[in-house]
Formats: sequence, C-alpha cells, structure tokens
Amino acid sequence: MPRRIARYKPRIWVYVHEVDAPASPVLAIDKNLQAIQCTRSSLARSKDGDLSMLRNMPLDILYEIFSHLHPLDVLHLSRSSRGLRDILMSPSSLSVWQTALSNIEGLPSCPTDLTEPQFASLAFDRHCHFCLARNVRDVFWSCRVRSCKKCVHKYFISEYTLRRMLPEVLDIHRCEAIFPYIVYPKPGRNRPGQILYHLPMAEAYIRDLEEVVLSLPDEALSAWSKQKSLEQLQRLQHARLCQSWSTRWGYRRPEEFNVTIVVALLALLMFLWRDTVLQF
Amino acid sequence: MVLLVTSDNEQFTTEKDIVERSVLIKNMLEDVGESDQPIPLPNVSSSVLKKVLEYCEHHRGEPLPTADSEQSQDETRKRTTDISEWDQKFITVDQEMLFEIILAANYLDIKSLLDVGCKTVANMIKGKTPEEIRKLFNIVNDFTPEEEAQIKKENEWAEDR
Repeated sequence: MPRRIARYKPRIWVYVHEVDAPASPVLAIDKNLQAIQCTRSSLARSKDGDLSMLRNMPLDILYEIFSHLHPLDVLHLSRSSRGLRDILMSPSSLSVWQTALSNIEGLPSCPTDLTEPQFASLAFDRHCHFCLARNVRDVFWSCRVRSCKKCVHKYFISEYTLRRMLPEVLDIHRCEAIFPYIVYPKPGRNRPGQILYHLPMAEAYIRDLEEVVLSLPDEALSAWSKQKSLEQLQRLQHARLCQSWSTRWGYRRPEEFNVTIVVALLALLMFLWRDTVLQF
Repeated sequence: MVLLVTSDNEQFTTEKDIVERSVLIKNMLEDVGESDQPIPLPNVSSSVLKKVLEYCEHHRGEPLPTADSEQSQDETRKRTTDISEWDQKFITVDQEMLFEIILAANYLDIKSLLDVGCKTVANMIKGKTPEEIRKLFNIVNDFTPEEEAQIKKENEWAEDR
C-alpha cells in the first residue's frame, strides 16, 4: 500500500438519483425544489462508469475539471488511455500541468531541463525511475531521478570509474562541477557519503565531449564546459529547493502514525513513572 | 421579472437578480434593456434550468466575481476542492445531470456553479489509480504492457526536449 501524502485524501461521493418532478409549463422558483434530491441517499463510493460521460465533454470543460487535480491525479489520468494521454501530453494541455503543480504548497517551479509531467512524476510518483520498483522514497533531485538502492549501484558510478571513461586527451579538474552527481548514502552523522555520478547522463556528456574534442578543441571545449557547469549550478540550486520542500511538505507522515507514536510514548512514560503514578 | 425559454420550449419566469448570476443573461439584459420578450436558451433543457435557477436563487445577492478580483480568486479557487455543504447537497445528482449542469453553467457563464460542478467531478477522480480511472470512465486499457512501462518512465531525463 503506497503511503499517501496526508493532505491528499479521496473523498466519499454521495450518489443520489433524481426523481423527475412533474413538469409544469411556467415555474416560479420555490424552496421546495430541494426536496427533489436526496431520494436515494445511500453513501457509496463512485462506481464503475460513473464518469463515462466525461469522454463526451468538450475540451475546455475537461481542462476546467483537471485544473482542480493533484499532479499525481493528472499523471494517473495520462496513463489510463491513449486518448487521455494524447490530450494531456499535447502542448495545449501545458496549463493543466502548470495549474496542478501550482496547487501544491511550496513546491519549487518546474526546472527548465524537465517537462512539467516529468517534474510531477519526479516529485510525486513513488516508483524507481530505472526498474519501476514500487514505494521508493529516495529522490535524488540533483540528478532528477528517484532510484531504489539496487539501481543506485547499477546506474551510479564513482569518480574513478568516470575518469576512466573520459577521452584520454582530456583533463577535467573537478568532475563534480560538470557531471550530475549524488551524495550517497545520504550524509548523516559520522558518515560523509560518497559522490556518485549518474551513469546515463555521464555517458551522454562523454559522447558530447568526444565530438567537441574532434572539432575546434580549445574554444569549443571551454564553451562546452562553461555551459555544462552553469547547468550543473542551476540543477544543484533547484535540487536544494526541492529537498527543503520535500522535507517540509512532501513526506508528512500520515496522522495515524503520529497517534501511534504519542500512544507509545505515553505508555513508556507511564511505565517509567509507574511508582509515582501508583502512589496517588 | 424575466422570461426564459428552454430548448424543450418550457417557459420560466424568474426575478432579475436571480437570473443575473448568469453573466450571459446579465449582458443580454443590459444590451436589450427592459423587455417582455422571452430569452431563448437553446442549449439548456427545462430540467437543467430548474436546477440552475435553484442554485442562482440560493446564491442571490452574493457578490459576483469581477474582472479585477478574478486573478486572486483564481488563485484560491484552484487551491481548494472544498465545496460548501449546501452546494454539495445541490450537486448530488446523477452523472447525466451533473454534466448537463456543468455544460449549462459554462454556457450561461456562471463561474461559481461551473466550479462546483468541476470540483465535484475532480473529487471523484482524486486519489485513483489509472486502473480505477479506467473503470470510472468505462474505458479500456489500450496500452501494451511495454508501452505502459515506457510511459511510467516519462520521468527520465528530458534529453530530447
């Protein structure tokens, strides 16, 4: 069962049939109209086909409806069928994604190197971006991936390995100024974490580099490294924003969990102070 | 009093301040001025208009969103999918009526009613998996398993943006 964000709960839908009121040719509005509703007020979750008519709605109404959704809902919509995917991935649907993302409190804006759907997926999907394993909570914002432990070992490499992949004629002083990297395991007390480079991106960069080296070496190379280190800087800045957002807003534990903690702590206190408590 | 005629040729008489919650009708009345002529609403059936007028009557007198406040209202409107208790009860209708109300609110330009309708639909979509959404919309999964896996990886680096 994937852990959901606490603020994000599906609602219960009340399903009520309307009974046809007797048709009258001229009708003055009266308050009794409310009585028409609530004839079958059984509480029920939405049932199969409850929104089948949505398919026939004009596009502007769909956009209006989708603008009230969470980014994860929009992602799920876009994965439900080809028709919906075509609609949601077309450039004219950009505003749907932008609005959905803007509905999230404190979320940094979409970075320029990701599309809105990609950013939504990075922030809210819970699967490993490499192997699709579920319930992966580790987001490496600086490399724009969510990865399970297994895939970290598979798709991230040490500086030593990276250097061996670089063209021989090249000498890069600080790889971390250019190549997207993560610090893994996440640094904590007494463990600094190691810098690991994102292999697919490193490979793409190296392909780039090989071409650059073949062309006008000096000028092209300095332009390339300037460009890449700027991109790296922007990525790291954005990653810091995302990290602080996700610490503050992204992973609020469900409330039941907090209740469990409080109850456990109370039990512990009672146990420790049992003598004092029992005296009274 | 204002006279409205629906698509199925039913006539509704209603008060001006009720029906003026519809920006479309408000503008019409302003353009035409006082007149005994009925206003034809060829896109709205009588059962739907009845509901719409019920909504307008309940909310009569509330300030209409103006062009200036639209921006800021837009902000708060999008943030929340909360619907007031009365509105929630009002919009608890079957699917057909719900979408007809949405279409009518869109046509008549009653922003707040359009919002209530769209939020209601949005709330039904919220928190559902793609499979649950397919059931809700009565659509089949037309992706192959490979495509499905590929789609989930849309999150990979945007190399070809």
